[in-house]
Amino acid sequence: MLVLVLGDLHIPFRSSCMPNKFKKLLVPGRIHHILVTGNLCTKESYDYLKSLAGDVHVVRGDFDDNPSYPEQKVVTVGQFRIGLCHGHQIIPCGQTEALAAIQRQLDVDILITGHTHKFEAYEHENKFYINPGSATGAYTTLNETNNVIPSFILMDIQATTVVTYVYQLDLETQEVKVERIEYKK
Amino acid sequence: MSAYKSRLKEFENLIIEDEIDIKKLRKFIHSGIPECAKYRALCWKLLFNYLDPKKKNWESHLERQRNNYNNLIKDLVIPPSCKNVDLSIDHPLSDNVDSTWSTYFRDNETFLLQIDRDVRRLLPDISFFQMPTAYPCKLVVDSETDIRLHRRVAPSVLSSANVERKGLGMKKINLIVKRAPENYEAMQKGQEANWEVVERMLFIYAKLNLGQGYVQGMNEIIGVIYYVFASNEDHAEFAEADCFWCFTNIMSEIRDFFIKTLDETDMGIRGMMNRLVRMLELKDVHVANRLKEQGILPQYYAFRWISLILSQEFDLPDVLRLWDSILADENRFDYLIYVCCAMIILIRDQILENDFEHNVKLLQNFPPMDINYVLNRADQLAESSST
Repeated sequence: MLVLVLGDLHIPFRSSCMPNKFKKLLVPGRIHHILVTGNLCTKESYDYLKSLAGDVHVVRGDFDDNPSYPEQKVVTVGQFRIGLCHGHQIIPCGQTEALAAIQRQLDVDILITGHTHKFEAYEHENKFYINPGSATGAYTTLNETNNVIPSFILMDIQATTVVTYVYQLDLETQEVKVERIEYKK
Repeated sequence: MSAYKSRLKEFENLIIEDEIDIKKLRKFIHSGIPECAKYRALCWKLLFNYLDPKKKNWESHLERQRNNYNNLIKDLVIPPSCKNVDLSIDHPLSDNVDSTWSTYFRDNETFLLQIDRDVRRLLPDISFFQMPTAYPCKLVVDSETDIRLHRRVAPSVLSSANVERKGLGMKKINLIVKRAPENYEAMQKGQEANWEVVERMLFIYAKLNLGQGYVQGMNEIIGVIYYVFASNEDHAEFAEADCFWCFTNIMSEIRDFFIKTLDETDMGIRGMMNRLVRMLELKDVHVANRLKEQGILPQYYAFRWISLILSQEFDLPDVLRLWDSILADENRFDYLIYVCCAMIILIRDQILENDFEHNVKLLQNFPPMDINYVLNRADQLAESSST
């Protein structure tokens, strides 16, 4: 089962649109589920994602216009429980132990958070932590560097394995790089 | 001995030979296969040229064909697995023609969707296709991930739960139970419905014959064949593989009916319909003229009759009897044309009286009648043609 994970678009406030290369990759019909870490920020972005796949799950980010998105969500796919949270609630931002606390609270196998605009995917104490980064490469005060690399993630969830495909846009060459990471329960 | 018993004896004598006389068998089957269900599956396999007349070749041939079919399942039905592939071209969103993922999605869009819709409503009058099969494909039902074909195209929603927190108190994780639109769940793990088996056969056929793909109507034809093989206990175990190869054989003959570009040629469906009209003019000029004056073109009724070999015009038991004769025909599909002609002539009284609307309705919903009338009349027409 293919699940798209992205977030922190900040359209139109910090970024005008998704990179063209990404838009070309994301065609409707291939992916059936989308998990959004938050900060879309407007309804237009939500509608665009809805046109890609019918099943869109969004959690609230600190700049989202829509107040009715939940703060945290738990999604069950096959044998995996996936936790979804934006990350601005977690302090210190993006720190492993703090995220582990949330993972224990929600009792999930995979925890997806955003907010740092930096791609991460690692295993910690046998649980998987994913941060899809920012799909538009929007500016953030959290990173030291000025250039945020646009990125998103596609998860292929099988029975006991999750294969993660990471799509990143190399800013100099404007080419899309794909990487593959596997996580076994 | 009663007529039935003597016929049965004659038939068993034909079958028991080590080298079956196919010509004699065909002539015999023309009058129908004895109705004890045991023999039809075997006879059809002979008539489809799947089984050689020489019995000693059967075992090795069948084993080879069944193994081939299993390999086909492994190659074509199992989705792109976790192999180490060149990521620059083979990732799920890739547009590249060589990518296994893009082939996977292309198949889903082009024919799997249509196949899935058609097989779910195959022969709805009988429960056979909705029942679990006694011999499911182990590869599919026992696999840990769900790799059933219809999962690829069925719409699905992830079950999710919002996390609620009241102030500083407890967190509550409420499972959102969406009222799922009509449950398309087929069977539980370890089991497979018959329509899923048909779906797999059609999918593999379409993948192997990309030029032809899948056309609506193929499901009816394979449905009849599969029904005959799977409802026979001796043949049910390998019904899927045998049915697939028999279907391939018959499709090689009627393929021309399903290809749009060949519609206008002699071999195509147009040619067959023209033959029907010409024969009707020969045999019953009044009816032929009446249909012509009313502007009832053969496309309105004969198209379905011929391309689906009459599988939609009669009830299943009658269709099986009809197919006995049609498949036994040495020059396929001459006899089919005779049967169609006979069908029209048998309702000539109504055709000569009715107006356009009623005639079209009549021809498109052929009135139920004893199939033996139709066959007898067809035989008469065939004899008068040859004399």
